[in-house]
Amino acid sequence: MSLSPSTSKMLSLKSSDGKVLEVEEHVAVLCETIKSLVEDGCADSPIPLANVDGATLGNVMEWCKKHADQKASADDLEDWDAEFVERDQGELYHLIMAANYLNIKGLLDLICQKVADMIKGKHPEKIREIFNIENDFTPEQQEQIRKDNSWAFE
Amino acid sequence: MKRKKMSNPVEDGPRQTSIQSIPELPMVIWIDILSRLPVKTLFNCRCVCTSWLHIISDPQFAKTHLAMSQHCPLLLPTHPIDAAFSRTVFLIEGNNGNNLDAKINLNSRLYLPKCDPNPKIISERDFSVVNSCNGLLCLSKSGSGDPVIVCNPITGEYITLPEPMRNTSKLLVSGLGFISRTNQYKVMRMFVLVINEVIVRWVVQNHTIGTGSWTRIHYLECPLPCRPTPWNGIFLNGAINWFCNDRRSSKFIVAFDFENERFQVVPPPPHFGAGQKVDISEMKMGILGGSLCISHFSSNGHLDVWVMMDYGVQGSWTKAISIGPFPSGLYQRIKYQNNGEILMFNRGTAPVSYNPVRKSFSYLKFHGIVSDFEAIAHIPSFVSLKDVVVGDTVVVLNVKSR
Repeated sequence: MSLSPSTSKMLSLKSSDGKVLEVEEHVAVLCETIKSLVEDGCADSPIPLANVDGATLGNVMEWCKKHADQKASADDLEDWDAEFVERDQGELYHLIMAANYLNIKGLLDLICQKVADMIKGKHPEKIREIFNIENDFTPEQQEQIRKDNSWAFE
Repeated sequence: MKRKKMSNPVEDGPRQTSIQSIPELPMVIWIDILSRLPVKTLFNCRCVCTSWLHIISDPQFAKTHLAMSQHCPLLLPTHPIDAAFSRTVFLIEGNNGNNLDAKINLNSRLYLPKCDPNPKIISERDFSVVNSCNGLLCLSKSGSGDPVIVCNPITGEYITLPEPMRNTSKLLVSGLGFISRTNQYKVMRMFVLVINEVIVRWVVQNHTIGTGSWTRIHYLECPLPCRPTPWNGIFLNGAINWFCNDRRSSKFIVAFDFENERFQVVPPPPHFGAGQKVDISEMKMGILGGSLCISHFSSNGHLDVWVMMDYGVQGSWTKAISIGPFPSGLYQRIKYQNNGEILMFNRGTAPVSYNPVRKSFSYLKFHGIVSDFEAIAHIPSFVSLKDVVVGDTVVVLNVKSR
């Protein structure tokens, strides 16, 4: 049960696919983009967010709500974040794009780190397999890079 | 970057709505993601596809990656058994959080350029590291301390420094520095001019990397409060920091600031107050979590590690560790690990991982090295010397093309 101040104003956010989400202002202003709209008095109702679909907006606001909660401890947030990023690659893609567009540094950091962790310590073949990336090197280029790399990091 | 057309069963169940996926992220986001990775993984990433190779080869990426990177231990074998090892160093990057398997794999092997064309002993190192600064290393001939080469051990690039004035002079200190405002690397060397066994004057020579010459500043009196110990200068906050060898003084840390070209006294921990004898042979300077630190091994067997949280502010010194009795020897060049443990090195013996919560330590073993070694703190980077040199008078060479 949320104990956020009853005085907190509600903001309406409208996603690219026309879904409207009612969010408490102190939660929504974790998005720097929305914060500057509110501060400049330009927060129309509902605020149109042309680059964020409804499902992603819901996920983003779930993250903002948790992180706006003053009572959450650092350990608690860390565990919660670790669970939050357990998603398929499509969702991670949309979350990164939304965090970038809405300018939420904490969320952008979190998801970028998650993607970096998916790459860390892996061999090129495995990385291509994970992200379904095509190897577009010519055999000559491939040989040259292998040569460049072989002097270090055996 | 291109994605394979066929759907990949390995991919965890893509959502109906998500046609786009991670490989299609904009370039600026990929720079952010890749700059979080250790260099060993980045060498693998270069082989993934052409667009990743282009990102990682870009000077802007090198800058972003350097800003994100932390100091890592760089191991220098001191008495290699095999002559082939004489210019080999090993980089130890962050572990994956599951250490205490008590083994560190030394598979990140790097080669340094030749410093001395005629080394005295073939099976020993022909170089000494003067210091590490912002991704680059400054090297001298073995035991000399006089800078001859600046290199990036990750890219293999190196340049030879112009010949400085050497006759009738005695080198006191030297080192490589970086001025972030102008994005310039500089090398300084301070010496005394001696004529007929009489000190005539003190001289500081400065060299901007990529130019062909040294500039000089003369002093009639010594600009230092006391005699610095020439080895193991630590570059931090725009200055190289050294210990000073004066037992009576509490001003035992001095620094040379590259921007204003001045020496300054760095306030030591208040614990070493005025009037207290300070023996710098019981201390090592290092970097811990990006801050200047001093490990102090006292005669009663305790090891204290002091960290200056806010550079130049005496009140910001905090005791990060205090343990005892500690395995004998002076531990230095320390690294926080992902799991909160602290990695410590001591010349010649196994490194120690210290757990500050349990107040316990364990010895770690290296897999793949049969030698004594010393360790220095170094930020691994892709910064290219070609982007650092100004003008075209200086040739950037590469270890790989030798």
